[in-house]
Amino acid sequence: MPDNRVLLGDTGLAVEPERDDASGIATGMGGTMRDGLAVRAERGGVSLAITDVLLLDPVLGVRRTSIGIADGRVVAVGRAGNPDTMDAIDIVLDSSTAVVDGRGLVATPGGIDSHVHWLSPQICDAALAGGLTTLVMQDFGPVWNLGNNPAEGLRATWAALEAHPLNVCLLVRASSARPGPVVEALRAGGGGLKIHEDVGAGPEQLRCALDVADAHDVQLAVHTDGMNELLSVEDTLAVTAGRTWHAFHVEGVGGGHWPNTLALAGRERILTSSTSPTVPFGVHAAEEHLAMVPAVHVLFPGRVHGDSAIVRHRVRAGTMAAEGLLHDLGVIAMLSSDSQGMGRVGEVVRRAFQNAAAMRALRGPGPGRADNERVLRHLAKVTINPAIAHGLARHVGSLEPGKLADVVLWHPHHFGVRPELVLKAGIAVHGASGDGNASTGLSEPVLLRRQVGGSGAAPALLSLAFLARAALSADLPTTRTRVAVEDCRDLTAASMLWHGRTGELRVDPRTHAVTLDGEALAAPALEEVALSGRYLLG
Amino acid sequence: MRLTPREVERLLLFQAAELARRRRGRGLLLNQAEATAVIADEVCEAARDGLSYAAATAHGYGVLAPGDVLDGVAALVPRIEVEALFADGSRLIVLHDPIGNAEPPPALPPEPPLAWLDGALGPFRARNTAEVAIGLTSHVHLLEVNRRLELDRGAVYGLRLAVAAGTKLVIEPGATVDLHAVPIAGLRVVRGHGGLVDGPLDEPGARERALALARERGYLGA
Repeated sequence: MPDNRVLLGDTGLAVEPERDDASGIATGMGGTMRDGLAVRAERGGVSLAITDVLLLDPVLGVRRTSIGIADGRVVAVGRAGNPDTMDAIDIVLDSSTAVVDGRGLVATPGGIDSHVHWLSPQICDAALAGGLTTLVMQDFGPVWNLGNNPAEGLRATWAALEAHPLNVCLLVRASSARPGPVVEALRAGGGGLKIHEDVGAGPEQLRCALDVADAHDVQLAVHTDGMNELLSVEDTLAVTAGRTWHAFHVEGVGGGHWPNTLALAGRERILTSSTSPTVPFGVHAAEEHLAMVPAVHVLFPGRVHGDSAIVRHRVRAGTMAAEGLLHDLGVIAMLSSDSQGMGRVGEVVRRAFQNAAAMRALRGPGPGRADNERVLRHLAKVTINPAIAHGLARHVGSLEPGKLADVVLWHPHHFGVRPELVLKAGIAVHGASGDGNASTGLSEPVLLRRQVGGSGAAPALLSLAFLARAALSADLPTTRTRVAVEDCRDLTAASMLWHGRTGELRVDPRTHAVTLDGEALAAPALEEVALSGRYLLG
Repeated sequence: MRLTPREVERLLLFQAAELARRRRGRGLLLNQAEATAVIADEVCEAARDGLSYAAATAHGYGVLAPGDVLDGVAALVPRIEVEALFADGSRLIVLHDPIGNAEPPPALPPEPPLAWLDGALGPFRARNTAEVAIGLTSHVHLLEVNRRLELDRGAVYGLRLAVAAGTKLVIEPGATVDLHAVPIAGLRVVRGHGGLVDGPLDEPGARERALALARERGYLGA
């Protein structure tokens, strides 16, 4: 293997920089980060810099480079140092610049989970430890809501979120045949809409929510009518024709038209995501869901008539076997958790790369340099694509200049399993930290836990509140910077980076065999996944 | 170690289980928290030992018998949910009455009998002409259910399925069933549903308008 390739954990995936802007900034004793060497004595430099890191970014590509940060935002990505003593400097370091030494580390944009039921605040630290920095959420604890309505709920949620260093966009429940409650909740502090079959996913709710979404430029996420009680998948397609929406857990075990909700994928105007437990497809996936579906959805097989039938129709190995391939082929564009509502928030990023590893093993290396394309495609599913889908992409989703400096640093050996450090707005909020009494920062037991930016009042200072434009001045108990959700309504499959393949997806209603434009899609179930048993306590 | 919060939770479970095992070693009968911890911990370790999902689940039912716990404790552990790490990743295991049951109950038991509410109207014959199963629930306006269900829509105007809340009637593709129904109660206003009435049921002309719309939209039996 050439020297400049870097292996990612035990995935078998390798990345190779397409460009090298490293400038050799050395921290520590005898290093170059001394005044007058690689840093200059006048201000004018950046506030923070992550130097000489291997950047994986769905927009910027794979680069060995530095990231310059000021006012919490990325100002430049390139060569860092002192222009007085070094050539071709893009990022000026001065004698006030704080440096995170990125040598030997991989940087990715902070991950985004667009499907989180905030059933407990413990989700936040699990998310941070999984490399996530932005959550699109519903609910405020173990109540049945499937949104954050009404205003009282939104206010309590925003107040609670002051303690958590994560950007947040709250979805309001849009399962309403009349726009009144939906608009009221959106204005009170929402940033998007959610329809769920457990509270109503019929034609009137869909039409009404799409009208509200259009009027307010927010996204609509939908869990469709699973039992086909009011609508079959063809009817949902007809009701929503020509309008953009986000189809949640499109494989269907998470919910939605049985057995063929997967037919929503491959469409021009439907943005699609999977949830974590079925990706990648493992040997125990179907069995596990026979237990998970009733546990989450208040079903009592054998005790309540119809509940065995529901579970049997909902859990289908055939559609699960197609899901990972649809990700690799660029059809399903996003991966999310469905946290505590049938998914694991801390495994969103990990499972994206577990799938990439499985697809490499099954389908062979892709075209181009190393596995860069496959890695960036899978990275896009948990960063830029959910940002675009939910109107957050001006601020998060990649590390292009102008965006928030939400960066996850990984040791390549632990890539996708354990971040070293999670930075928000350039400040470390979570990551590896040891015994507080020890003489070093990494004395065992080393846990992934809150860092300085995750303490005191810093979380809200470093985090954004994503709100519908109509909610920007809502009376909310938050000190976060408020930014508008925007550009959600004209999106198509082609808006999803590294994705955009459309086609006719069919699910055989009896066998559940899946075809895309006539081609059969079925991956064998995995006995073993990467980024898991070799690392984790269990 | 760089332990994630999930792994720290795992250690907490282990600690509780280890405390319980130590007490059990002294001849004590376990209480509810102790029994739960021991069973959950042993399921996780079964996964670590390489057992399959089914075998690890079955193992959970063999950890403790009613004689291992204090009187009445078996009934205090009706269900345990725990996540274990298998070779194919994290998996949820749900144990039902793991002290009282010596082995796992079937995941898909036979349906209990369908009980129609007293005084129900009908029968109304319904045939599923769709390629997919259609599930009907207790409080949806029967006129407005999936248009591929062939059903005398006029006859079920203003009615809902005569079953208790939470009961579902799943009609397989091609199947014919006889339904029973009861009138929708309260103010008898149907909003949403299939969008065919979207207002008061008993308003003059509402029934005719709904049926005309149903015919226009291809609802079988309208």
